[in-house]
Amino acid sequence: MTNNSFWNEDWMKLQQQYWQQLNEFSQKAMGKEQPSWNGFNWNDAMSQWWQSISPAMPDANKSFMDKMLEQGSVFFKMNEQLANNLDKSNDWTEMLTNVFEQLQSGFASQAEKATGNMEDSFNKAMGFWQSPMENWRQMSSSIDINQNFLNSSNLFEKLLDAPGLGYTREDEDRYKQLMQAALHYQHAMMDYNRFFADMGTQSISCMKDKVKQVADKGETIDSGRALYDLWVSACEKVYSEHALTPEYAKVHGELINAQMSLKKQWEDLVDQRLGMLNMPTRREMRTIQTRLQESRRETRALQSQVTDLTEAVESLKEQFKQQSATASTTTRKKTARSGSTVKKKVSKKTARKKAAAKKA
Amino acid sequence: MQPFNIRPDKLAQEVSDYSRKLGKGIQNLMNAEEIDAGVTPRVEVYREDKLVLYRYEAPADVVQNKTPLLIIYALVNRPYMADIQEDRSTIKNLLAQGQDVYLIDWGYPDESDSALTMDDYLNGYIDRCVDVIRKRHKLDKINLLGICQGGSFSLCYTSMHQDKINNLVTMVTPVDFKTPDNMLSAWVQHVDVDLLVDTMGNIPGEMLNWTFLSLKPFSLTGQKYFGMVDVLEDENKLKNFLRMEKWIFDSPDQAGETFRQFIKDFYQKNGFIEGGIQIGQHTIDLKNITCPVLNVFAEQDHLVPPDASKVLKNLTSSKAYKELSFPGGHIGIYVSGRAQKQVTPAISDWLAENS
Repeated sequence: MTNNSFWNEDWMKLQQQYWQQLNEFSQKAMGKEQPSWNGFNWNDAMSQWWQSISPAMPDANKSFMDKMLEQGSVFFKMNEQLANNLDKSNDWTEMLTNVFEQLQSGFASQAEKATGNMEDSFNKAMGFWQSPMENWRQMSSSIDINQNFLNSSNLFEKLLDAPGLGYTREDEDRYKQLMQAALHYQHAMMDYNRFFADMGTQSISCMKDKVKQVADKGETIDSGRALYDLWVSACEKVYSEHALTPEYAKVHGELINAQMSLKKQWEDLVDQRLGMLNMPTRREMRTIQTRLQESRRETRALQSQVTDLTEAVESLKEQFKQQSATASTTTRKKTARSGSTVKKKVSKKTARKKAAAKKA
Repeated sequence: MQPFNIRPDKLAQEVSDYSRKLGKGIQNLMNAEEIDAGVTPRVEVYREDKLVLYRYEAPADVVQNKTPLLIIYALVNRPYMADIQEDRSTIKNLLAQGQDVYLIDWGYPDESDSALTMDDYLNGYIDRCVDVIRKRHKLDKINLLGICQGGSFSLCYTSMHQDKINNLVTMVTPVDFKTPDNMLSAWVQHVDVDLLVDTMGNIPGEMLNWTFLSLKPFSLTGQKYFGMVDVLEDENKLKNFLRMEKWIFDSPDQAGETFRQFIKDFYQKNGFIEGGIQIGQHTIDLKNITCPVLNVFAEQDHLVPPDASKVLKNLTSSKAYKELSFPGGHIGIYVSGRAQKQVTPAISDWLAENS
């Protein structure tokens, strides 16, 4: 970051000072040395700060920061509830129940406000347990299930508006199947939601057990952070116990299967329309891909055979060359040997002739 | 006994501290640039389709094992996990301890790869990479190290091509896919994989991310980010966190046909245990594995529980089977400081003993 940029270092320092001054202001306002909850909304302050700073944040890191703030918000709210309840009861189990019930109910109303979905009665029990559901929603949107279609209240009107291409009866049938798949997906989604519904309550019970274990050991929870970590571990424990059951496996499998059935119906419908327009369809592409891969496999196998055969031929050539070389060497030696024998024979004959001539 | 030792002003101070740390650390986050992935120098030695075979550059002063080591990573996520940062690199450590390291980078499959089968991956891509290395080194056999799903692939490959493998190392490798504590396995039992693949073609990385995050949703999508406020001010720690974050979400799509067979034959039918895995012309039988085997698993692995790996002990015909138990998790076995000191030296020593 350079000083020429609008978001220069001075601006960054200002941002850092923002929190410092906010802290000091809250303390002075309450006439206290230490920061206080009374009359000060940390969540709102954090949200306002983030709204002012987030436009300058690189996109890659923005979502990361969002997650940090989201969890910061959970932490702030938990501490707020804890601070409000600390002196209200001598019974710590009652106090803990109050804290987490209020916390869950706070999350629930926030979720209702955010989604505008008053029918989602599960929110009331889920609270912090929105987390696994949110993961599913994000993943679903990434693979392009048409949420508008699912949320549409005038689905039947859409069916009547089906474009008049091809045989109407066939079209209606396809739309009915699509409709059935959408309803099936909604049911599967409800079953999935329902499975999580009572886990929020169970996690409070698990939390009490965990706190009791701390007390039984003669230890204490000394910070909001320690309580937050314990809360996360309680939720994970309850979740993992349920997520390993055959019931969950079935609900989970059904959710994916229902989603895929719906998506498949959409794809078939789109394919059918594309076919009518003489456009390439996904089904055709799949067939081509499969055939192409089969051809590539065959080509590879043939290439491999050709390589093996080429190597075999080269090897044979080499053997032949060596055998030829050996054969010609042997012939030369034989020739050379036979040549010297003749010479010897000739020289012996010549010597005998010479000796006879001398005698004569 | 009252288990709480918390006062309201102390809680407010904690919140105040959190806010102040955010304010201070925000500049580091804004300045964080593109995260580099993979730190050790390497050269490309073979390329086919989207696959690249790399050879890593060894330090000049280290005597290398004459038998090279090929690392086969999972198709899920990216292989730079094994070389994630300078001081946390399995590959760098293996090189420093004398291993001649090769690695297959599978790339990012797209729709044109959806028809790739396990036969194409194992008897095609992997086999050709093995042959390339054997030819380069004029050797009949090389060493193989498989990671996670890559470990399952390595087991299948060795059972089919034992004549090409000298030693086999499997790391956090699922063998028994139906142990009671295997959450992933429990979840896929009711999934109609045929419908899934027929609909999606390739399986999106997003879907795999969702599955993995769902294993521990509160820790992995919440607590982790909350805890990050403590390291925002430290530029290096922040960079390391972002690097890991990149790796977690850098999920290639899975070639549909390979995914179909892997889930059906391995997760749903538990083929290593029950039999019946057919890859191309080969029926997979782990008894065909006769070479020395080192099986490395992590004691706190939530993706591949230790029992899922340990069962390998009685399934091969290896007369030199050895186990290495690491006190950590599925990722910690590559990136933790302890892993750098314990795991890679043990692998290298074992390879040296069996060379």
